[in-house]
Order: sequence, then structure tokens, then C-alpha cells
Amino acid sequence: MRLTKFEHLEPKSLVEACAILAEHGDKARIIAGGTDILVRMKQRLVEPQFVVDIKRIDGIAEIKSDGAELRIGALVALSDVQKSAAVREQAPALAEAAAAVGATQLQNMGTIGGNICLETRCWYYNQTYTWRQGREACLKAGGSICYMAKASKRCYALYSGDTAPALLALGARVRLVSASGERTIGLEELFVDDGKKPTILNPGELIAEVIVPVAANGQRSTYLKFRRREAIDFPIVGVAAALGEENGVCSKAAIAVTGVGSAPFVAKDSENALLGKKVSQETIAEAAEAAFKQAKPVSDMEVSPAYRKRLVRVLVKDALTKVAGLA
Amino acid sequence: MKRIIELNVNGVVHEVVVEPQRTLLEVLRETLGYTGTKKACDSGDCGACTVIIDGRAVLSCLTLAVEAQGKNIETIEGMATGDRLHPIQQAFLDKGAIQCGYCTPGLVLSAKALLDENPKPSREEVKKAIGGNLCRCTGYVKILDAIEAAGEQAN
Ligand SMILES: Cc1cc2nc3c(=O)[nH]c(=O)nc-3n(C[C@H](O)[C@H](O)[C@H](O)COP(=O)(O)OP(=O)(O)OC[C@H]3O[C@@H](n4cnc5c(N)ncnc54)[C@H](O)[C@@H]3O)c2cc1C
Ligand code: FES
Ligand code: FES
Repeated sequence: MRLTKFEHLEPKSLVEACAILAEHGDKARIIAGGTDILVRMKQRLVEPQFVVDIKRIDGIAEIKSDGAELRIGALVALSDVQKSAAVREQAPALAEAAAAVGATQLQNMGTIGGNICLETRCWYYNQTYTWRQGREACLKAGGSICYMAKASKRCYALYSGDTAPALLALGARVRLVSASGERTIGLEELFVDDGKKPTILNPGELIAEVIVPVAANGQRSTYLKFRRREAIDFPIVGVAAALGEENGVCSKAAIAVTGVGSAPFVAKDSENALLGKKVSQETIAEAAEAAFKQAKPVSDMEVSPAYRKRLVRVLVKDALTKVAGLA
Repeated sequence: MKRIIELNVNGVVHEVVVEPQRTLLEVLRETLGYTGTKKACDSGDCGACTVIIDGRAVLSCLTLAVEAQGKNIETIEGMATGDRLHPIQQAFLDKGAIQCGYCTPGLVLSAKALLDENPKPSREEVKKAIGGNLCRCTGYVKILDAIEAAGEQAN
């Protein structure tokens, strides 16, 4: 599969990158590790005239810790995220999630910014150009039908990034920059449950860094992922859980799920099932049931919606059991 | 727009004229003749195109050649010294870890990246390092054995 022609631009600073992105609008696309966008470009799902390589930008490829927060530059490779002692100690769910992305080569190439911005995926969409000519274009490809849910007016392509649920459970924020300024928002606000456009990033806006609060004393976290092959595969379902206990009761619970909808979701009802209570097999089962109820998967050919929904319950239970030390 | 770039492959600097849409895999194989690097899926799934860039195993099918400028690229052609195979290559032969051989260059480079950093990996670490390299002929046991043997030998 050959890539079609484009111009390759290499800004050296965020300011320059933002100016280029503002100038070229929809004709430009950011490339970081390239492991998601180049596949889509080969499949001619996106054919940018300008490819803006952000890897030469200074200052967004480091992990810094000031004891209260970890600041992870958007360009930090997933293999550096998982190797970082600070991340492993202070945000273990994130280290585990980074280590679960694809396989080693993809972790060496893939960046945390690119992983968060991973495009939503679908069996009918992520196919070669020739394959897609066999049927009418789907919503995401500019047509008017969703093959996952034929009666639907919206696109149900799935979000399957691994680090986002871990970051959501850890309460991360993202610093966004564009030609018109910058803003820092909670990661939860970045995502929208719409397969066609899964983030609220404005055209020309990019993620500069991810800010993760350091785990409070006694707070633990983990990320569990179910996939077809352990060696290399997107998650069918991935669940991150963070848990804190004080005086024998749960003082902090955060659970986030990927692979179920067009955005990762925070399982609020599960959290409420635990907060203020003793963490036990019973309360964990209630929390898992609440996440099960909140999950609304549609059919995607890989597994049935009912199976995926049950996986959410199993993984939430396993993740909480693990962080609570009850296993 | 064509560009003149320098690619450092196995310590030899090549000046090449490339268009930005060409992958490192295409330039290595088609322009520079390093056909030891294999192309199979061309989309990140199989690891046949694995090369080492600045010490890390990466996929050349998902790397733009222009972005490899100024970096240290290692391919399978750089492994042997004259007629003497690299210990990892020798171990693959000794352990019968090769059948058709299509996956072998990628596997050997994934193994090299691992052993350069961690000469005594556990079996689990070896499995993780080659998880992105698919072999359709053999099982993986002999490959794992070969990599472990090469690691032991280096010590
Ligand atoms: C075989 C295979 C298996 C994979 N398995 C997994 C998996 O299990 N889990 C998983 O999560 N992913 C998986 N991936 C997808 C991908 O490798 C990872 O998500 C990777 O982390 C993407 O990061 P990148 O830097 O390579 O992104 P890129 O491809 O460079 O970019 C991805 C997208 O984000 C945009 N972008 C990049 N950086 C920024 C930024 N700083 N600000 C704004 N937008 C940005 C790009 O324009 C593009 O649209 C797999 C890919 C392949 C080919
Ligand atoms: S050819 Fe590059 S991963 Fe298959
Ligand atoms: S030996 Fe044939 S693919 Fe591995």
C-alpha cells in the first residue's frame, strides 16, 4: 500500500506548529508516532495535503514530577511511560495501560498524545480502499449509513485507546494549545460519544501535555485488558480502576472503561456503590453490576453486545478485587 | 516535494533523494537495496519490517523515511561480521528457529534490541519483546529458545 503524495512539515516549536495547523486547516494532519495515522493514510481513509510532524518540537517529550503532579509531554513514547519509575510508582494503571498497547514496536513508536487521540475504529471503516468500494460509504467515510447499527443516524465506531481509561481513573487533565491560545481541561471533557468525531479538539488544536495527579497515600490503581491475543491486539474491553481507603472505608473510587462506545466512559454509578463503604466482595460486586448496567455496547462483529457487556462486569470486578488486595 | 536526506544504515551514511510519502521500508528495499528487511502486512500487524532505530525496535512500514534522517538505523544486513554470523543469528540456526525465513530478520532485530538492553531476559520478557513479530511457519518455542541461548552466550 503506497501513501499518496503530501508535503511534510517539521515545526520546531508549539507556536510554529499551531500556526501551520491554523493556516492549512482540514488539509493538514498531525503525525506523532504515526502508528495510527499512517495506516489510515495507506487505506486512504484520510489523505492530508500537509503532514505536520510534531516530533521535532522541543519540551514536550519529557516526564516531569513535582511530587504533586506528573506532567507527561504528548510526545513521550509509550515504552518510556511504562519504564518511568515515577509513573510506575505514582500512576501504576497508566504504566500497565501503556504496556498493553499493541506490541513492543508500537509502544516504542506510539506516543501518549497519539494514543489519547486514537481514531475510533470499525470493521467496516478500517479497511483498504478497494475493500471499501464493495459497498456504500458509511457515515464515518462520508456516507449516510452505520453498518454497526443500520437504523442509526450516528456513527458507532469504537474508541479503543488503552491509556485513556487509565488516565480517566487517575483524574488526568490535558493541556491543549492552538493558534488562539491554550486551555487545560479534564480528560473526561475531551471525549464525546460520537464515532465520527470522538474528541472536542478544535481544528488546529493539539495536546501538549497530560497532567496526572500523583496518587494520594494508600491509593492504588490498575488497568486490565481483555483482547483476542495477549501478544498484540486492541482491547475488546479495557477497565482501569483506582481505589483509596481511609479508616476502613472507601474514600476514593474511580473506574473507567474503553472499548465499549465511541468514547471511553467513567462508571459513575460504580464509584457511588463503593464510596463511604467498606470495600468487600459484596460492594465490589455491586460496583461491577453498576458498570454492567451503564455499558451500552452495540454489535461490532468481534463479539456480541451481550458478551461485551458481561466483560465489563467481569473486568470491573477483577480490577477492583486486585487493587483492594482481596484476590 | 523531493528532498535530499541522509540515512545512516548500519553505520554507512547514504545520501538519498526521497519524496515524503515514501516509507523507510520502501527506501531501504527499493532505493538502497537492503532487501533483508521484509514487507508483509505493510500496516503494523506483523513485525516483518522491524528495524532498530536509535536502539529501539520499530516498524519501518509505519516510519516515513524523511523522519529517520539523522538517526542510527540497524538492519539485518548489519548483524554478521564478514562470514561470522551474529550470535543471535547463529542461535536461530542452531535451535532450528527458522523455516521459510520471512519473519526471521524482524525477529532477530527485535531480539537484538532486547538483548542489547537486557542480556539476561526472562522468558516472559522475551515473549513481550517479540509479541509484535508474527511467524506463520514455526511455533514460537524454538524462537524463544534461540533468543535465550543467544542471551546466555553473550554473558
Ligand atoms: C497492529 C496495531 C495494533 C495496535 N494496537 C493498539 C492497542 O492495543 N491499543 C491502543 O491503544 N492502540 C493500538 N494501536 C494504535 C496505535 O499504535 C496507538 O494508539 C499509538 O499510541 C498511537 O500513537 P501515535 O503517536 O503513533 O499516533 P499517530 O498515528 O501519530 O496519531 C494518532 C492520531 O492522533 C493525532 N495526534 C497525534 N498526536 C497528537 C497530539 N499531540 N495532539 C493532537 N492530536 C494528535 C494524529 O493526527 C492522529 O489522528 C495499534 C496499532 C496497530 C498498527
Ligand atoms: S510489514 Fe510492517 S508490520 Fe507488517
Ligand atoms: S519461518 Fe516462515 S514466517 Fe516465520
